[in-house]
Amino acid sequence: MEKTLRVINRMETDGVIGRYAIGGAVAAIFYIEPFTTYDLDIFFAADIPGGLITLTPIYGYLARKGYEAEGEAVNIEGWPVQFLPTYNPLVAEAVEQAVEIKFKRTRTRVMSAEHLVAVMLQTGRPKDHARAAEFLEEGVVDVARLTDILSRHGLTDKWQEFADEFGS
Amino acid sequence: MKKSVNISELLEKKAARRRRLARLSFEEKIEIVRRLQKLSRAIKNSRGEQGRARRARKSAANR
Repeated sequence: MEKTLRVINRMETDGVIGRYAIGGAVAAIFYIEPFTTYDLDIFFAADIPGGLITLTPIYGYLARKGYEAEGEAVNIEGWPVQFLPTYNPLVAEAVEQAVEIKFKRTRTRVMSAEHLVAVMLQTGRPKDHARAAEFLEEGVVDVARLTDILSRHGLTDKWQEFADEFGS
Repeated sequence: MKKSVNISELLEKKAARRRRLARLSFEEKIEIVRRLQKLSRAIKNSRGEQGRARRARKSAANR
């Protein structure tokens, strides 16, 4: 994955994508026990005028480097990478406040545990709830920070539903 | 050969294992994910082969 991250860092430096952060399952694995996943979700800062954004420049840039699209993703050095623009204010904030980490010798960013849980509650699928519960059980979440994020993004009701379901 | 099982002890062991895995470095966790991916692909492929063999047997029997 280090080579994949180097390519993505290069994309950011070259201005092909804005500031990025790892989200989704791989970001979750940074905090909790590992589980099977196939894609690396890269969320990048983007203005989405009228709700539409073209990924053509990203795909074109990667194709020129020999990385081909595979369905919704692009295979970069053995990892199917899905590029997702920041599609709402919560995801935009998650990218903006992502945590700087190192994977071996390569710098990268992952969304904070609190933002990941907030995104999981917003998405609201059963698997997201189960994963959010795991985050809380592992004690990797700063509950005060999570509460602040949830209230600012209108997710307090979702939190209540989740708490009713999981008894937190 | 019957062995009594203490469920709460079993669950505690599972939780301890989960905590131990969660504390691994990111690099170690990604290495585990890679192994899980290989394993999962191997299972899918073998299911595909079994399915193909089953279909071949069925079609031979119907001939």
